[in-house]
Amino acid sequence: MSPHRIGVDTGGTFTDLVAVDEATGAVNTVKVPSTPQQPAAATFEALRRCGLDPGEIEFFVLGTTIATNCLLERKGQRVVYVTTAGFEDVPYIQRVDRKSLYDLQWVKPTPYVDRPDCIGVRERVLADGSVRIPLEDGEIQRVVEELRRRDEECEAGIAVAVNFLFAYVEPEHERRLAAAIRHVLPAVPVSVSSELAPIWREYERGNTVIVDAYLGHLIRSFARELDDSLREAGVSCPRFFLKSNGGQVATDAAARQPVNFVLSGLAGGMIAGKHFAEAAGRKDVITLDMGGTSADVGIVVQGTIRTAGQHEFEFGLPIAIPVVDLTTIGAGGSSIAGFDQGGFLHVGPKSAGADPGPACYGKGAEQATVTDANLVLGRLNSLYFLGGEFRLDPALARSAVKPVAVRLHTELEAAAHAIVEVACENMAGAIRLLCADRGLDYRGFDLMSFGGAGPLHAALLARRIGLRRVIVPPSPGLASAFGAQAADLRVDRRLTRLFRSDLTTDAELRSAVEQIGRAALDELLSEGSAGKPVLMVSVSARYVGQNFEQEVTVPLDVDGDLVRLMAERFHEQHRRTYGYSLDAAVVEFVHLNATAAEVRESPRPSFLAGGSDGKPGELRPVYFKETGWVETPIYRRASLALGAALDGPAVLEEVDSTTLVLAGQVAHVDPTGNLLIEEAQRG
Amino acid sequence: MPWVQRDEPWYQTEVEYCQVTGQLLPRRYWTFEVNGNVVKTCHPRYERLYHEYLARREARER
Amino acid sequence: MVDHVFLRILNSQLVNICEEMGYAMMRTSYSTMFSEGLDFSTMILEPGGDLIAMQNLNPAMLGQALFSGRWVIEDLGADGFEPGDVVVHNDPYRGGSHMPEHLLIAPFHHRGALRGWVCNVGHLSEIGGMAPGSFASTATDVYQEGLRLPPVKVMRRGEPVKDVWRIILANHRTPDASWGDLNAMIGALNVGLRRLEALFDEHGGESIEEATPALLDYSEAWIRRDIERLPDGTYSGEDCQEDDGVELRPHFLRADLTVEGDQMIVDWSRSDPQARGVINCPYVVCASATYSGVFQVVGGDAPINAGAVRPIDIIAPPGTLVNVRHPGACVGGQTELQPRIIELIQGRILSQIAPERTAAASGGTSGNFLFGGVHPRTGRYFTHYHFEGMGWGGRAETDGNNAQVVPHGNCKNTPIEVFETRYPWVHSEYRLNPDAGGPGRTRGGLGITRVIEVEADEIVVSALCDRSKVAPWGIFGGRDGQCLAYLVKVAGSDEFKTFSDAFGTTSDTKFANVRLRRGDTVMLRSPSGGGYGPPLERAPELVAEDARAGFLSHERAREDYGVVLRQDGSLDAEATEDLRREL
Repeated sequence: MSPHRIGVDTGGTFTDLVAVDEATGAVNTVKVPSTPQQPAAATFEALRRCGLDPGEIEFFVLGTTIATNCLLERKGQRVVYVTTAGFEDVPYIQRVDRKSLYDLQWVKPTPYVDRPDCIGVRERVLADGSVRIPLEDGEIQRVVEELRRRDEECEAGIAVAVNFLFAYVEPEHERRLAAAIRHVLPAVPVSVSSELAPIWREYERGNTVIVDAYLGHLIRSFARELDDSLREAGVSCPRFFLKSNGGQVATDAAARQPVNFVLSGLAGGMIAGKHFAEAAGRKDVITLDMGGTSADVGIVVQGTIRTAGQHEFEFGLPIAIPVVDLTTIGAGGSSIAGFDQGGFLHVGPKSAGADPGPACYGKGAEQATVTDANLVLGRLNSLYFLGGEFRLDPALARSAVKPVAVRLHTELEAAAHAIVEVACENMAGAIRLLCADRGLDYRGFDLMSFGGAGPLHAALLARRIGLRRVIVPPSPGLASAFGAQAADLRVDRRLTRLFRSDLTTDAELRSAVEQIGRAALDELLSEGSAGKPVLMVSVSARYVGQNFEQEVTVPLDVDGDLVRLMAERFHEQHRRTYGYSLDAAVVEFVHLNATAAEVRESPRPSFLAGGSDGKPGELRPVYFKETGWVETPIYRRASLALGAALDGPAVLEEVDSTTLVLAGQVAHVDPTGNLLIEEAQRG
Repeated sequence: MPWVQRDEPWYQTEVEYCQVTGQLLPRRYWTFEVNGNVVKTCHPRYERLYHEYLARREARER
Repeated sequence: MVDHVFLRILNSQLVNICEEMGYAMMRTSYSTMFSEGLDFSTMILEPGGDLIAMQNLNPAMLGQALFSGRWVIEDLGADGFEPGDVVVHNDPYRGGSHMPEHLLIAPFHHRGALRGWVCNVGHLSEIGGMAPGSFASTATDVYQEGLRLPPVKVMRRGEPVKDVWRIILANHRTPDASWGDLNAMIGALNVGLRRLEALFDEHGGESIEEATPALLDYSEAWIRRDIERLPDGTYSGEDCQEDDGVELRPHFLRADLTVEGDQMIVDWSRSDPQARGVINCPYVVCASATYSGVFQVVGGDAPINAGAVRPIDIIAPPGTLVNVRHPGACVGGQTELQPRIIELIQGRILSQIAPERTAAASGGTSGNFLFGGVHPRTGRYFTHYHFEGMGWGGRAETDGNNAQVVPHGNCKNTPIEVFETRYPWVHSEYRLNPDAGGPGRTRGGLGITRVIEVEADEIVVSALCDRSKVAPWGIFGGRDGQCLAYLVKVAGSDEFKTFSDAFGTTSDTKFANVRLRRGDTVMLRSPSGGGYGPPLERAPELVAEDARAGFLSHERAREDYGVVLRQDGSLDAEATEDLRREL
C-alpha cells in the first residue's frame, strides 16, 4: 500500500489518468474513451483500471471540459441579468467591433442571456463610489418579486446575475440586493459581480457574471456526481477540480464560482509544462499542447505561468477572470487540408475531430489531414499508434493526400510535406504574435511540446521560429492529467482601483494592497488550503493616457515611499520592454492583483526509464524536404536510458505520442526523463 | 520621350495630379497627345484607359 | 515557376510581420485610437513601393497602403534614403488621408541592398489647428485643421532629426502624447525591419524578390476571376452628405461602375465639386472606400496587395468631393465620406448585379463627438474623441447587426465605467433604439442612444457626423432606418433641442467649440440600418420574436410589417394574413 496522487483529464475523445506514487515517484497511466453524456463514468472507469486500492489514493484532482463544452454548445441554465436601470442593453450592445473586415454577412454573437431577461433596477453609483440614486427597500422588493415570478414560470429554475455600474468601487447595493434574493429565494443561485470580478468595464464584467450563472447548475451537478462516484468506489481522500487559473479547488467549494472552470480542461497542460520545464532547469518556455482539433499555446516566464485577465471562447463574448494565458489555434492532427479560391493550400481550422478523424483512421473520412500527411511522410508508425491499440492505414492516407498532390502539380510526399509545413507556419505565426502581443521576445524561449501531436511538430516549429531548444516531457500525451495532480492550490483576485502616482498617498496604496492580499488568503483557506500559503501582489500600471498596463510586483515587506517605489519600478520595466520611459510622466495604477497559493511538495516523478543508451530499434524511410527519403532510425522512447543521446534525423515513439528530430539536431534524455532537442551547431 | 520629369525647385509646394485618374504625380509623368493637347498621366496603362473609357464617355456626352 | 507552397508560406510570414508591428504599436501607443480604436495600419512594400503585405485590421487605410508609400518613395527618390532613416508625413494632397493620420516609412536594406520598405499609419489624437482633438469640424481650409507635414525625415541614420521634432511638438496641444505615439510607431517599424532581416536571412533575398511578383499576380488573378463572373455593363448610383458644416445643402457623390470582362472601372467624375467644409476626401480615401466596397462583394479572402487592385481603376478628378485640392479641408472625409462611398458602391451599385452579397445602408456615420476641458478632480486638461456604434443594414439572409462600428473601421467602444472615470460626464441611459431598424424582409440593425450629463463647470464639445436628415436607405423594397439625432438639453430646461437651435451652430451635425455647462445634458442617438426586401415578406415569427425581445412595438409590427400580435405577444396568424392581404 503506497499513497498516490491522482490527476485526471477528461478530454473530448479520451479521459486520461495519471497516478504518481508519493513515496517513489513512480508513474502509472491509464487512457479510456470519454463518456460525454455522463462525464463521471469515464473517470470512474479509469480509476477502476489503474489498479490501485481506494485507500492508496491520497489526493484526487480532475480537469474537465464540461464548462467549455456547455458554452460552445449553449446548454446552460436560464439567466436573469439584473443591472442598473437604463443599461439593460449592455450585453446586446457589446463592444461594437467585429471579427472580420470584408465580411458584410457576419452576424454578431448572441449573448448567453435572453433580452427580455435583462432587467433594470433603480439605483446608481458614480465613478468615485458616491451614490447618485439610492437603492430603496421598496425597489429591492419589487425586483425580488419579479425574480420569483420568473423562477416559478421556469421549470428548471432561473439563475440570477447581478451587475451594477461601479459596483467594484461601491458594492453595497449589489450586496443588499443579493442578500434579499438569497433570503427570499434560497434555491435560486445568485452570481454577484463585485464578488466574482470586481474590475471595471461593465460589459466584460457583465458577461462574466452571466456565464457564472449560466454554468452553475452544470458544475454543481457534476461535482455531486463525481463525489457520489468516488464515494461508491470507496475513495475518501480530498478531491479537487482544476480551475482556469491553474489552481485547484475542493469540489464542494467549486460550485461557488462556476465560471472558474471555463478553461479547466486546458490548464493541466500548462501546469505540466511549467513543471517539466522546471525539472529541465528552464525558466522561459512556450508550451504547445497539440491534440486532434487544436493546439493550445501558453507561456511560462521566469518560471511562472503567464495569466491573463480575460479569455474569449467566442469572439465578442469575453470572460474576465484570471486565467492561464492560453491561446487556441485551429491546428491539430485532424486539421483538414484544402485550397482557397486562388489556389493557396490551407490547413484547418476545419477539423475531422476524432470521428471520423483522419482518413487513415479508416472511419470513412476522405480529406487529407495533418496526421495523414505525417503518415505518408513515414513519420508515424501505422502499427504503433496508441501503442498498437489502433491501426492506421497508410493506403488511405496516401489516397487522401493524392488530390492535394495533383492540385499542387507535385509528388505525393512533397504534397504531404507542404501540408505539414503550412500547419507549422500557422502555429509559428500564432506563437510569434502571442509573444508580440505580450511584449515578449520569443527568441529567448524554449519550446515545450506535448499532447498527442505536439512532439511530432516541435522540432520543425522551433527551427521555423528560431527557438533554440525543444523539451518533450515523458508521456507527453498525458501531460494534462499529470499537470492536474501537480497543480497547487491557487487563488487569483483582481480589483480595479485607480490610483495616480501624483495624487495617491502611501497609506492609501498600502491599505488597498493589504486588503486584497488578505482577501486572497481568506479565499485560499475556504478552498481547502491547510498548509503554508505564498502571497504575491502586483499592480497593473501604465502612463496616464496609455491603454495597456504592465504588471509590476509590489514588495510586501518594504516600508517607506511605496508609491514612488512602484512608479520607479514601472519606469524601469517600461524601459526594458519598450526601450523608453517617461520618467516625469504620471503613472496610473489601474488594477490590484493578488495571488495566494499553497505550493505543494510534488513528488519528483520518475518515469520508467529503459536501459538502452541509444540504439535504434529499426530503420524506416522518412521523408524530409531537403534530403528526400532517408533511412531513419526509430527508437522506442521507453527504452532510452537517462543520459542517452542521439543525432537527428530520428523518430522516437511512445504509446501516446511520437517525437521527430531533424537532421542537424541532437537529442538527449535529461536526468528527469525529459527529451531535449537542440540544433547541433549554432548557425 | 513621353516620360517627363517634373523639375520644380525643392521649395515649391504645389502638386500635380494625373489628368486621367486623379492620382498624384510626385516626380514624373507619362504624356500622350490628344487633339494637339498633351495629357499628363501617372502610368502608360492609363493612356489606354483614356482612349478606351474616357474618350468614349466624352463622345457619348457630346 | 515559383513554388506555390513557398508563396503561400511567404505571404503568411509577411502578413505575420505586419501584425507583429501592429502589436508593437498597440502596446506602446498613447492615443486611444491606436489601441481601442485599432485606427492604424502596418505594411510592407517591395523596393519600387508596391504593397506586398498589410495587416488585416482597418480597411479605411487601404488607399494609403497602396499609394502613399510609393508616392513618398517617388517624391524623395529611393537613393535619398539610408538605413535608419524614417520619413513622416500627413499631407492630404500628397497621399495623406486626413491630417490626424501620419504615415511613417523606413527603407529595408539587406546585405547592403535596398530590398523593400516598412510602413505604418496611425491617428494622432491632437495635431494643433483651430479645435482641440484633431477634428476641426468647422474648418474651411487645411491650415485650420492642424500642422501639415509634407514628407520629411524624422529620423536620419537612426538618430532623431531634432529640428523636425521640435516643430511638430511645438504645434500639437498634447506634445507628450505625440512624442509617445510617434515613438511607438518608429519602434514598430524597427520591429518590422528586424523581422524582415530574419526572413531574408532564412529564404535569401533573391528567392523573395523572385516570389513577390508572383504573389501580386496571385491576388490579381483571383480578383479578375471574381470580376469576370459579374455581368458586363455600367451601373450607377448616388448618395450624399447632407451638409458640410458651412453650407446647409446636400453634397452629392455619384459613381458609374463599369464591368468589362475581368476589369472594373469606377468613375466618380459626376460627383459634386469639393465642399467649403471638411467633408471632402483625398484620392487615397476615395480609393480605400471604393476598394472596400468592391471587396465586400468580390475578393473576400484574397491577400490584399498591389496586385489585387490592378483590375480596378478609379477615376476621381481633382477638385471634386472625392479628390480635394489645396487648400480644401478634409478631416471629415475619412470618417464620413468613407462609409458613404462604401455603401454607395456595394449597396446601391453592386446590389444591382450581386444582390445576395450586399446590404442596405448602415447608419453610415462614425458619429464623431469630441470634447475637452479641465477635469474638476485632477485639474488636468483632457480631450476625447468619441464615436458611436450604429445599426448595419439588412442583408440577404440576416438582419443587420445592432450597435456595430462603421463598415470601414474596426474599433471598440469605450466602456461607460472607463468613460465616467476619465471624463466628467454621467450617463443616465445607454440603450438600443427600439422600432428604429429600417423595416424589411430582413430589418436594419438598431442604433444606440446615449444620454450624458455634464459634471464639470465647462466642457467644450464638437461633432462631425451625418445622417440626421437623409436617412439610411433600404434596398429591394426595404425601408429607411431611423436618422441620427445629436441633441442637447440645457440645464434648467426640459426640452432636448438640436445644437443649431440651442447654440446657433450652422449645422446640427458639424460644429465645433460649443461650451456646455454643468447640468447640460447631451443625447447622442446613432442611426439605424435600412431594411432589405419588402417588410410584408418578413416571416411573422421573426416579427413576433423582435417584439418579444423588445426591439419592436406591437404598433409598428402592425403598421410596418402587417403582423398582428396579441396582448400576450403571441402571433395571431389569421389576422396577420388578413392584414397583409389588405396592405
